[in-house]
Amino acid sequence: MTELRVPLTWRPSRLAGRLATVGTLAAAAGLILGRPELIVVAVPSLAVLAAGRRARPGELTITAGTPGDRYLEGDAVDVDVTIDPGPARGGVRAELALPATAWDGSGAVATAGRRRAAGRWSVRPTRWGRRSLGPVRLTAWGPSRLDVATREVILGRIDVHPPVAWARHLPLPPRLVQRVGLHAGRTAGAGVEFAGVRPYEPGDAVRRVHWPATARRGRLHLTRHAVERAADAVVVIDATTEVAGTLDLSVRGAAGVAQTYLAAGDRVGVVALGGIVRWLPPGTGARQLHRVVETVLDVRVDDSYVAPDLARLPRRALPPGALVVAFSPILDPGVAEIFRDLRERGHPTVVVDVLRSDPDPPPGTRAGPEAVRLWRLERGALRHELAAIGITVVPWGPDDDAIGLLDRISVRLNPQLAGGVR
Amino acid sequence: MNPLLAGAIAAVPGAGVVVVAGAHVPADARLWVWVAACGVAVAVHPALRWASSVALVAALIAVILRAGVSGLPLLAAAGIGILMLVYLIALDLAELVERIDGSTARLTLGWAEALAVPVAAGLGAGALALVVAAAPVSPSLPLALAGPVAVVSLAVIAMRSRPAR
Repeated sequence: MTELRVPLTWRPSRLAGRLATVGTLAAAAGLILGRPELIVVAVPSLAVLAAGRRARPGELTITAGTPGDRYLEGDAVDVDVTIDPGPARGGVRAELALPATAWDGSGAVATAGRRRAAGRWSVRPTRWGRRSLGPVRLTAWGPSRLDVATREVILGRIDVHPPVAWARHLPLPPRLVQRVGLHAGRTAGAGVEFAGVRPYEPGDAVRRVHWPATARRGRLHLTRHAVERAADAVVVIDATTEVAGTLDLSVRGAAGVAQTYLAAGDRVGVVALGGIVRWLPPGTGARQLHRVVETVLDVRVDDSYVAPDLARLPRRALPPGALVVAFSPILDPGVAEIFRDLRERGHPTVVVDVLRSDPDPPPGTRAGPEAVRLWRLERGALRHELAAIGITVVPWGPDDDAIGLLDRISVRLNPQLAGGVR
Repeated sequence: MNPLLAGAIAAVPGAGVVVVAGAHVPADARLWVWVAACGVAVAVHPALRWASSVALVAALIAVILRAGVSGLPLLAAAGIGILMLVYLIALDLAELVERIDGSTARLTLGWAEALAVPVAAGLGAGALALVVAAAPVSPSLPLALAGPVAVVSLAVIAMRSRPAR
């Protein structure tokens, strides 16, 4: 629970303004024109103004809390609010005015007199990121409602994570790490995935006899199982350029890919390329998921003249043989160089092109459409160049909120899977 | 509660002001009564309430001036003053409840608690003006002033001597 003490600065309320207007105008007109009737009209209003108690400086206390501080996009966030009016003895009104670009829903709580105001607001975040619970517009009235104070406060902050992704086939690097995992390796071992049969040799366990093969071949054969290994994956986010929401897509994709690999027991790391190169070494488990998501939520486009450089990364941020899934609009030549560098270091590299639209040609220019065509050809050439050195370039699909993206990458890396993936 | 509905309910005492003023105005000053009625009508909209108060009091001044040398009876003037106060207070209540979806009973109770003393003072001042108006004395400016000054002074003294809660 967060407790905020909000100092109040008083000014005349609307009621006081209206009473003063009526009373002053009528009394002044009565005095100037010598008409007692107008003075009599002004008397009740002026008497209320004179008899009303003035507000004293002080502060009200607002207590708010949410059940958690991490939510997924679209989750309901219940905010419990209690307001102790303090010197605001004429009443308090609090209105949650969340920005409609990132939130759905609103809330208000009001009280009059000296009572406490309490309520529960239910809102939904519609976009990932670190989101403020607010502003909350507070309006407090003095003891006789002749004074009013208004303030805006922020109740706290929550982390909104992108939605969870899923995939039927995870793209895997050719070399799995020497750690027990869920992926069938290429060598035989103590797994459960069927990897073939082989003749019996003295010392083999009899319970692994493959009876159909034994019956067909007339001598004992054993079942071979594939070893089960884990994979290393590093998600790279290109934060050097932001065009038409590409960074938003990159973060969504990166979070989704990381969640999927972590759910399969693999190690996942993050590298964010920008003026400041941020990195998170690969790790496993639910804690790593939170670390990954918090790292990607911190990614911003930095204005910097320093080109991103992998030489600044420690070795453990990019383990040898790790699969690299990069999200980039591929607009910065320096970033394309980094992808080449990654491939030359031996990392199987997949680049997800998050630029979904062509630039609009400048209106009124004849050369504009030609320039766009040239730009498109240059990008095509760059993609072919990357593909020629073994980098798989996958465009971000129209409905790809990371759902289906990994399946498409798997098909590109292993076309035999195409029959099972729509 | 819908803001327009709350404003319409709050405008009822304002309509009473117009009716009382209209009953005492000469025939050639009916136009100002209509101005006052329009002033009350626009108060239905939340953004026009202060303008409504100004229009209403300006129209009242015009009506009283056009009422002739004999002027508006003090009894009617005191009634208008009390109705005007009720109207302004009702507008405040409308602003309180117009954005609340649930029950307004608790809010209204708290609001009444906050405004009880000042409104009682205002109504008391209006009642005193009524008493003065009913007294068999000729209305004069000093007499009209004496009542309010006495009421305001008593109210201020009462407020200062009231212990803080």
